[in-house]
Amino acid sequence: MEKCTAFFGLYFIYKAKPDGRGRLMEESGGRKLVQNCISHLKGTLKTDGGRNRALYPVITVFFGEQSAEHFPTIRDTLEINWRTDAQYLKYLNIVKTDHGYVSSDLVTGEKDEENPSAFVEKAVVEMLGKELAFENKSRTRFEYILLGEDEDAKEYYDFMINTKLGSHYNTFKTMFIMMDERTADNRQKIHDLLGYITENRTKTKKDLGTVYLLSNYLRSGFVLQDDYQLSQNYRLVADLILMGGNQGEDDNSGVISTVENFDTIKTAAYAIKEKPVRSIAIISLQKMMRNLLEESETNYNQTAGDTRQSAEKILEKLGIRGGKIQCLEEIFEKSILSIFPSPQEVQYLAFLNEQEYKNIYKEKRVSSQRLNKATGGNWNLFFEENYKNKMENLLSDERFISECLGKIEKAWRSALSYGDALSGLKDREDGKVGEVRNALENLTLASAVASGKSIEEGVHLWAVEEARKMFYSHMIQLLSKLLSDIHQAAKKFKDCYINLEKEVNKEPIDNKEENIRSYYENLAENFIRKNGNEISSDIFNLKNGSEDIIQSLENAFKKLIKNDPIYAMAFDEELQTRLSSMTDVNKVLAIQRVLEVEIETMVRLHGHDTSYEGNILGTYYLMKQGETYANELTGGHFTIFHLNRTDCIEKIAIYNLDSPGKYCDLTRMVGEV
Amino acid sequence: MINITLKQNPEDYTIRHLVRKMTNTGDQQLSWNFHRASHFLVVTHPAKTPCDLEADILPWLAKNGEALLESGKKNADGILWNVIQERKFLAANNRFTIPRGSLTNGIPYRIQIFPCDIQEDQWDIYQVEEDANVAVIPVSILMEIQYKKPFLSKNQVCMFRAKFDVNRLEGVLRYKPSCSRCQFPVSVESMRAAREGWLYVWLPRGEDLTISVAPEYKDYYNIRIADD
Repeated sequence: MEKCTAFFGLYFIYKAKPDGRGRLMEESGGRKLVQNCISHLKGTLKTDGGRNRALYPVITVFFGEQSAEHFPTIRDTLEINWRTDAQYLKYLNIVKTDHGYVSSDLVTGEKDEENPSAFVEKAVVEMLGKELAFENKSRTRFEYILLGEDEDAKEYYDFMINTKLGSHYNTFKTMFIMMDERTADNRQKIHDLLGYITENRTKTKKDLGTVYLLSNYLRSGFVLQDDYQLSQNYRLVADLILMGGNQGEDDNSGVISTVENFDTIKTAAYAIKEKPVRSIAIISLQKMMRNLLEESETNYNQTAGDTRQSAEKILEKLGIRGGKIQCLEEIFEKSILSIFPSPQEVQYLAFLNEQEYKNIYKEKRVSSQRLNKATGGNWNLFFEENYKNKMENLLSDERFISECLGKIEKAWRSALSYGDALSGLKDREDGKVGEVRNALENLTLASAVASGKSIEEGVHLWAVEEARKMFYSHMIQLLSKLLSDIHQAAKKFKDCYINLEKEVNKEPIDNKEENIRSYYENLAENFIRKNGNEISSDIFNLKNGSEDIIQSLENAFKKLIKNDPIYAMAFDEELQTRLSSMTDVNKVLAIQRVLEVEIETMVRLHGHDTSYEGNILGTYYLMKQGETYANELTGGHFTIFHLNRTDCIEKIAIYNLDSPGKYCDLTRMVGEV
Repeated sequence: MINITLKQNPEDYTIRHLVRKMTNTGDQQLSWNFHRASHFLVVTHPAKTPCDLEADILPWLAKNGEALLESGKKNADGILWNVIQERKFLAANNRFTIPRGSLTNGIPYRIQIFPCDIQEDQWDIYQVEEDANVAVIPVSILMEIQYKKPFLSKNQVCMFRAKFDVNRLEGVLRYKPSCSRCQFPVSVESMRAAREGWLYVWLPRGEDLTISVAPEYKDYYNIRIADD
């Protein structure tokens, strides 16, 4: 089961993972939380004011449903660099079905089930119709992304070859074949596709453009596995799209001709040293969640005192004091009192004779029994019909009771802290109800009977008091059950929080850098120490459901990243700050360890044929203008490509798989079948 | 010993257009239409005494059914039991009469009629939907109401009493002053204890008092106000 949800203009893909028994296991939102936090952190990053623009219109076509999952990675990179132009780029998804193709626009959601070529052409026309977008509209770039192991890969490949928009528009095609070589079955399917392409090279010569083979099985033997690692190859694709048609301050014509060409098969090596945004977000979130939970429980235990004191405080919060329950009193006053007769009605009782009537009104205070005697039992009947029966009817009205309980629950959930509900309301170890519920169930109702100003008022107040006793007696058991439910809700809340925490803890992070964990855990810990109370009260609130917890944690995370400037720093500044105790030489070494490995080992292929290693077309460093690391680069066999983004340095080497004058055998580029 | 089966077949075994009226001689005459039945069981009981088919009628029939079938009628504990053959009912032009003397005056009666199929010892008694088989013989309660307006007082005294055997009026009577939104039930105890049955209610001048019957008994009693 997969869901794709729009959030702040970015798309996240959530997957429910199959559990060990092959069933789908629902996630409680941990991944969503992580993705949102990463996105908030990315949003705070400074961007470079570089002048990169899209030189040509670009349409990116994802073949098959699975490839489209990586649409956000591609779009993010292009948006950061091409800004205004990026909004006009088209991202389409074409999926083969039993009856043909379903095409959709990944941004607008528009769908077509009839003619995919027409759908593609319509998208091209829309882009060309944007007057101010793109530097040059004389050419349209088509970027196709195909999973090599897709069952329908050959059909998609043919679709790419046979799309004949070229006669109308000057198009330039590039296909990225993404190869997931984790299973023999996949390798076989990829092998078949590459064999098919090889067989048809001569025939397709005119329509081929450039094909990149990008495997998750690296030359070094490293296999990209989790979503985060796999997304690196799509980041590489986005960079290649960027480099293949960028109008920047530098002359990019050389880069363009290296990246995109006619009838060529290429691959690339890729290394990235980036601000560890993902790791920072996850580590900070993990620490924040752990400390918040610990703090909320420690705080409660410190402030609650012993069981008796704790119970008294909770009873006070619930408004249970002096033999009264505040919320019941309010309901009785506002919703019940008006159903009874007014005191004046009592004066219309039928008396046995005139003398009895006069005697009664001579007395200062009259009891119910006395009045009943004077009226020959008429007062009792009146009381039963107009007070007792009305009260009973109301108490048997499920809707009324449910509304009462709803109001009380709302008030009590607001009044009680998470700690109160979790620890203060729990039952005793011997299974008997805890102090609070015990006090509630054994409440001695304080008498509220006041002597009335008149005979009528006196007996009316007595009757009302009888009804109030009935109300309390009926409600107390329900309220005790409500407290038990609130306690259960707190337990459930804790389970929900812990599940969320487990999911966040499961998210893969790049642990290679030495002090990321200690540095950011320390920041999160200090932040919680200062702001924990306020944040706890927002998160550990019994009104919160799982969605609310996620939202509150996101809000807390946003406060955290505003709290220290390092979260918004560019890649190099963050590194300088975090590794402040390290010498400059060592800081450079930390970057070099990633970027300056033998670039061949980072090639995105692991087949038998390595003859292409000599066919290197260019090596590129992608970094922001003025990046200090540029000063460390020596030798002339590289080109610096300036990025608008500040959070990374990337290194890309592009290889031609064909030897001069000879097509390569693509099947030799895939791992052992 | 008879075997009784309670059946539901509202399509064939029905009672329709049940009408009760009092004849000039004071008898109660019942008439109804039906579709199928070999007999009719007619149970006439004081309205305030519950008489449920399953809880009361069937157990009584189990013991006394044979004798009832033989004699056609029986009076036991204030309840009048009749079994009428279809043939005799048709011969009487779909009419059945309860003679005046077989009911007690001043007591409202409820009459339940069940179509039956009786073959030797086997009694099939059919339930009829929505009380279409029920008729009521109501009773009128004569009430006297008088107003006394003391000189120079803002109030008046309203006196009322029932010209009826008050012991039979438990939970029946109530009154409502025009200046009040409440109904005031009248206890039998007060009607018994009051001198000559007069009860006294003090009302503001200009207001009056209406006597009525409790909703649960409204089909069984009518209120009739005596002329001054």
